[in-house]
Amino acid sequence: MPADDRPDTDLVSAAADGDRTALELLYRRHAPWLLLRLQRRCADPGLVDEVVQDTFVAVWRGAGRYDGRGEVAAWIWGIGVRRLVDALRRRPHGIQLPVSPAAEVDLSAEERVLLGVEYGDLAGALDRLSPELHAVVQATVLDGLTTGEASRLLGIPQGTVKTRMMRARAQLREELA
Amino acid sequence: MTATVVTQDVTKRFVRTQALAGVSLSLSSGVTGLLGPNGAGKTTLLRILATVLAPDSGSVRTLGLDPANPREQTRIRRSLGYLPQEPGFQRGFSVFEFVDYVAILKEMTHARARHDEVRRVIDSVDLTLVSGKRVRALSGGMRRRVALAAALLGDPSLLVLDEPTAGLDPEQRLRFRELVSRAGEGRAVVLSTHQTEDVAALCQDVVVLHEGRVRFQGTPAQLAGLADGRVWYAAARGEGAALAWRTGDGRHRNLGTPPVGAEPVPPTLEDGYLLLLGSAAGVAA
Amino acid sequence: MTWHLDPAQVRGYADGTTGGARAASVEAHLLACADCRGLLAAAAPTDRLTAVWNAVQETVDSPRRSWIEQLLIRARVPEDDARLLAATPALQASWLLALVGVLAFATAAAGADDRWLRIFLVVAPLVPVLGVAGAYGRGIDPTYELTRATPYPTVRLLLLRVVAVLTVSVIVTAAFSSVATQGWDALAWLLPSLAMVGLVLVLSRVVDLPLAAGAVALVYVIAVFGLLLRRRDVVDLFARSGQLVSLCVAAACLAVVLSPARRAAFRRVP
Repeated sequence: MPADDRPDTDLVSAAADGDRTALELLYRRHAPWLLLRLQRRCADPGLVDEVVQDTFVAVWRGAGRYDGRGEVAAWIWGIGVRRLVDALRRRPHGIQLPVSPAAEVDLSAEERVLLGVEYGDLAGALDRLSPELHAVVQATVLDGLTTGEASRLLGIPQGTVKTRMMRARAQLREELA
Repeated sequence: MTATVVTQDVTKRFVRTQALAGVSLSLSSGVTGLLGPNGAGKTTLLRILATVLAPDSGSVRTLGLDPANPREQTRIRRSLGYLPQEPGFQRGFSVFEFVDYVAILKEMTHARARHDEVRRVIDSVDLTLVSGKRVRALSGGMRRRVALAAALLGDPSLLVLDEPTAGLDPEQRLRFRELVSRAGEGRAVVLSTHQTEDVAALCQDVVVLHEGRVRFQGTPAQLAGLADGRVWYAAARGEGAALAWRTGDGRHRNLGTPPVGAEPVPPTLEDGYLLLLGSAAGVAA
Repeated sequence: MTWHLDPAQVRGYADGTTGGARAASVEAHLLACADCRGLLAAAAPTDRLTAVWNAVQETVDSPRRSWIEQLLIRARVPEDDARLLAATPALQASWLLALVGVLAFATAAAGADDRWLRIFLVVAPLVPVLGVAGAYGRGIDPTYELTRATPYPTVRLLLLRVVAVLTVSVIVTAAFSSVATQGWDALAWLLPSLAMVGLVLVLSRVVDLPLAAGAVALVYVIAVFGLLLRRRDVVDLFARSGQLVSLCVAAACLAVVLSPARRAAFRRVP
């Protein structure tokens, strides 16, 4: 396929108009990172593939509803993560917890600086959260899910989500104080 | 090389008109143009070739089969693609849906393979960008292309196109000619037109039809050759000219018997065609 | 954007070894940076992505099923047949609304006055006939000419659509007539209607379907007028003798239409 440097927003408009090649381009640009990001939240590759498929079908059908605000990538993630939540609700599966920060031994000085650029002291504090607390923070804060969606994603009751969020906040506050 | 289509003395009468009065011709692989004025019987002949109409008398042999025999007729239709003069489309169907519908009518039952074939033909007419759009929302030129895509389903051995470039603007006509030229590779294509430029640009073979009879069958060069030495320019309509008209630069182009001293110019296809019909219509030189 | 992913980070993220906070960092960055997304794309599992794209294509390109198709598929009609039926003009929303409209008016009128009830009984048998007229044929089906040039057996297409349209119109008419009147009268129109449809199908071997339907409907209307002129009650048409005649006619036509010998003749070339 010849190189196409139309911006994502143009591609979405074109897709809303029935342009299939625009959808294909969006897929090539966004499906890889979406797949990998979903894979970090769900251990089942079959389910992840299904969710990616459903997401891009939804992108095609809902292209007209993209309001142009915010990055297209963020819009696609919003669709994708909600599809994941739905899929897990219908079929409870093993959840992939994020790799324990402890597994990462070496952080080079440069990497520490880079992390500091994105999240400041928070990054280190986040790393020190236990996997369960980290998962809850990731789901609600980083992935933008509601408590209900987070509970479905992680397979825990809503009450537990709230409790763990409180514990995580308390721990982070303590660390950053 | 066996001919793809052979007709012998085909006639067809409608209530008040004799549409075809004994048409015998032979078509082979490549693009054949069917040229003639309105009412010449082109559409009737094409409909007979497309097995949509049966002749009153005479014989037709398509792809070695007899369309009058029901079983052989079905076999012919399996290798046939037809683009009618006014292609119609189901309301509300998108391009993909319409072509898929025709694909089902062409007996492609396996959904996955059928959808791949539909995508292939839509791509071959450069309509992938609008395959999700409703056909009725497209321009006339694009709708013709959709119908052409449907005709190309299943890789037919015979493609029958009725006035495919009628009503198209010059750019659309150019694109369509390109598509037809591509389609003509490896199969027999017969298209009707009353534009001589289409024939000159596209056809290896040309048949001139007039009042239900074949007036000429041969190559475009041969048709032009009919006017060899019979075309000249003059300041005004010349003596001995069967036909004449004023060209853009003020001179008159004359067809007919040139007077002594006139310098004939190389004839075009149109010249040959006009001269042929002129004499057939009884316009004496 | 002050930083971008380097190859090590790309690899680490792609194979899942990147830790929590760093991964979060990468993910936030990816939402905003097309170049790094491109870098990551090279490290992603291409086989899976290709397979998923094929599946997306299939779903996206698959004709979006209209409500008719979905209904039919749920009723276990094969996908291809559902498609052919969905293309039937008489099953389009506008036709169906028209049918319903006519019946609704007739029913409302029938409820008001006994005389109107007779009118309902006269109109009701025509509804399926007119529905069948919109099943297939020149002038009705926009792709008629093209369809004739395809190998699909005309007989099958015709019968498929006629059966579908008939089913729908009979059910709709029955629903309305059960509102308009009670008891056996509610079905008095059924046999005459089927008889007429049978005649239409037989006639369509010679003329176009819409024309055949129009002709039969016309004959019926003339018969009704004939009765009225002789000051006979229209209801007589639907009396026991009328029902019996209708039954015989319908059965005879069915035999003709479905006979194997004639099925080949159905594929006529006019």
